[in-house]
Amino acid sequence: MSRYNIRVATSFGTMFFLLLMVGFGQSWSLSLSIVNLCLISAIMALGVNIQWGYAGLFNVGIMGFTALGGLSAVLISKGSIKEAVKAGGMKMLVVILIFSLTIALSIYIYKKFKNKGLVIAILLAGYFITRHFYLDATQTIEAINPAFSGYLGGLELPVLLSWIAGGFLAAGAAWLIGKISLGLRTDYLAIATLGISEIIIAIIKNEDWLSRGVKNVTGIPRPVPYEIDLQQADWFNELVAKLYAGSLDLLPVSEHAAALKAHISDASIVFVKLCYSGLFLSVLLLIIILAGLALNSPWGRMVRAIRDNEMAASAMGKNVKQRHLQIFVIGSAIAGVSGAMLATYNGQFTPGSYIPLRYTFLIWVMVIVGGSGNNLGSVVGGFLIWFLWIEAEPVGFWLADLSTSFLDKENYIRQHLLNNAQYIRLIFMGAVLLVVMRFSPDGILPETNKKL
Amino acid sequence: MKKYLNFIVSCAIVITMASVSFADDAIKIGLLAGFTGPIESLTPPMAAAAELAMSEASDSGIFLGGKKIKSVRGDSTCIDAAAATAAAERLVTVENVVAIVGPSCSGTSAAVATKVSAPNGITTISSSATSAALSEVEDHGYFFRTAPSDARQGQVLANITIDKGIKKVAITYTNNDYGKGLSESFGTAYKKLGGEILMISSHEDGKADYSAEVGTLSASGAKVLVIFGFIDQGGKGIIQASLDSGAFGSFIFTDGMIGPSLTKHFGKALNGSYGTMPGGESAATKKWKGIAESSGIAIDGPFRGSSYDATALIILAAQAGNSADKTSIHKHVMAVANAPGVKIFAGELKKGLEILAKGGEIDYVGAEDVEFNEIGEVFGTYQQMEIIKGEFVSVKVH
Repeated sequence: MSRYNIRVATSFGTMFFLLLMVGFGQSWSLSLSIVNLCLISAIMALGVNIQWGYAGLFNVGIMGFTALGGLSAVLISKGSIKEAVKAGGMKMLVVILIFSLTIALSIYIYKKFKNKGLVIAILLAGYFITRHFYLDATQTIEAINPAFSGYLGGLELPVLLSWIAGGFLAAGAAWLIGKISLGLRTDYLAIATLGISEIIIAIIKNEDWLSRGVKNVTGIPRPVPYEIDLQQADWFNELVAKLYAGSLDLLPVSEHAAALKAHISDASIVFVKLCYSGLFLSVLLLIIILAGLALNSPWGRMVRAIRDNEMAASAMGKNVKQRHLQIFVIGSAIAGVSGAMLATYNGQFTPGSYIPLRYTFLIWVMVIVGGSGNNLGSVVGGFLIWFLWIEAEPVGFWLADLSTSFLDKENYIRQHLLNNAQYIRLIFMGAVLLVVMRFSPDGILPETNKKL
Repeated sequence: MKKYLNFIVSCAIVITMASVSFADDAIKIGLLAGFTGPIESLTPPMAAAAELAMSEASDSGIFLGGKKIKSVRGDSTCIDAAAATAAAERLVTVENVVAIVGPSCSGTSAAVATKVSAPNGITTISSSATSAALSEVEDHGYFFRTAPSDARQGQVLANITIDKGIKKVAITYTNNDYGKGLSESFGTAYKKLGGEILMISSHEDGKADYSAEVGTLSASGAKVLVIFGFIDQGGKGIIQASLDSGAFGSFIFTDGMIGPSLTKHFGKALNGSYGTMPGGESAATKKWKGIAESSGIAIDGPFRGSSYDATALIILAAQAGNSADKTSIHKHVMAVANAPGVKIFAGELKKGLEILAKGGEIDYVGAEDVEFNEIGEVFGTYQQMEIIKGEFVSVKVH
């Protein structure tokens, strides 16, 4: 086995081992909930890796694309609010019609007559007409039961569709943004994407008719069964009874019912999480396989050539701009898919919770720690960082407890450390990043075929 | 390679040791709060208030026949639903807590209620999640809250404003579920009572200057500004900009804006402004203030009393069923919170535990007049706070 393969095996083995330890030492429900978020994080990291690792596009606007994914989960899966649709649906349709008409007309005029003055006039007129109808439409919709609905609702389709729709929505936004800003070079692109992602969040936060804005949407339907339903389902009860038949027999008959009930409750939670894990894992595998194939194809080599020397690639007749746009759209679409998955898993869409620290920079840490340019590296990075993000808290408590165990229980320093153990999470992240960068500057799993 | 392996092994050892929980027979109550994140400055006193109730019951010596209570803290981060549910899961499945006090914020509360509380059958009492939408979350009856819904505070404030003869206002709210929810409930109630809202605009927290926002608001012609915001954030900036430009001289607040740091900063310039905050000048609150002060808990901020109440309810519910079993606690929460029974105030947990041990009934009143409605939410009393001579004075209870 080559050195690299050993690295891959040990890092995945370690992750697997750590998660097993959590399962045995803490609980399987916690272990699986970490796994599920690890899988989602790994997909987000893959999206960033495709942009940064393959093509060197410095996108710090991941947050915006994941939020669009979450938005699509709401729009696809929530039931429609009949009153709101009745009162304002047509009005909103008219608005959308006028808006698209304005855009189409101005493009047509621009292409046909090349008259900028006329285009601006059309856009301005369109803006004012749209705005007039738009204000009326939004006010009508938002006035209907604002505390609990106040929006149009969704399409009531299966939530799994929203994972695909989220990808497309993010891709569409990325195409638009890419058209405008991909001419910019690295650091300028970073600033532009950072700003644009904040704009996306600001729009989602303020357009209440669309997804309730900051009032949050809860109760996004699940693609998997509900625990409570499972606990009452006969087949599930029989299954659990069969599985635990051995351990139940050891108990006195009087305790059977209570023990079985506890087992059923635990099993239902684990079962639901496993269903999610299966779904997430299949998406992750699909994306890894596709991304791997793309990376090792002539297209992948071309993209990396562009990354390493844009001038040279351009001189060879490669269309740099077009490739950049492609990569930007693909990477953002993957971020969108993962955003939709996250909203589905959380069962809610809370625009106020999209902050760059969590949805942009944490993902970047995953990619950097894992190894940019290496898909497996991003997956390892996603797993490791999310694992630490959650487990840092109990470890922090344990460290604070252990390091001050010689002190008196009421000692101020001990109390203070124990009460502030949560902050160790942030220290941990910094420390991990520094340690990995010091000992393995290319990440845990560095890019393999760096030389073309 | 060897170094690498060493690192892995030591990591593994740390994790294993961390995951072995110490066995002791203290009863554990989970304390899930946003210790890191946007409300991290609010949570330590809330946690202290909750732990005060726990130590009060432990010290009484009669809780379930002399058992001790241990608090297990978890970080709900306030914004990250995934991290909050993972922390809740750790509390429930690893630490085996019997019930949870928290989470702090509305978004994380909805996630924890549906994904952890309901499936595990764990009683979860939030002391600070105020979003109106939480009333409709699918919690299967396991989610309670001792902080009243924002919908109610908006109505109370609208009534006071109309009573004062103020018929035209402009509103600015911080752009999150708290500010938006309040602005909607206030707006609806105010319009119904015949008031006129000249302008509503949101502001984002954490900006250096708010003169543009204030300019737009004052252009509406309003003389009085309603601020649904936070004292340490945009709210203060809005007042600063209003006073600097002379746009508004009189303000209306809610709990997020009421605190000594506001009056300390602006002093008499705010004379005549008023607002509402949960709690009343009732016998219950007075008692709570005394207890909090003697235990070193500052009461100049929101949700401390409600945190104490949430914890006390769990303790009393356990005593009522004479069992620290999660199902038994869930069964008895409503009974101890509501009439009939002997009224129990803050600091009287020992009395309550004694009555329950003898099989009697209690009606927990606590620090903030707890009374649950049928879905496990408090109705809430509010005190009208006015700034007189540069200080907040409670003038009336609603």
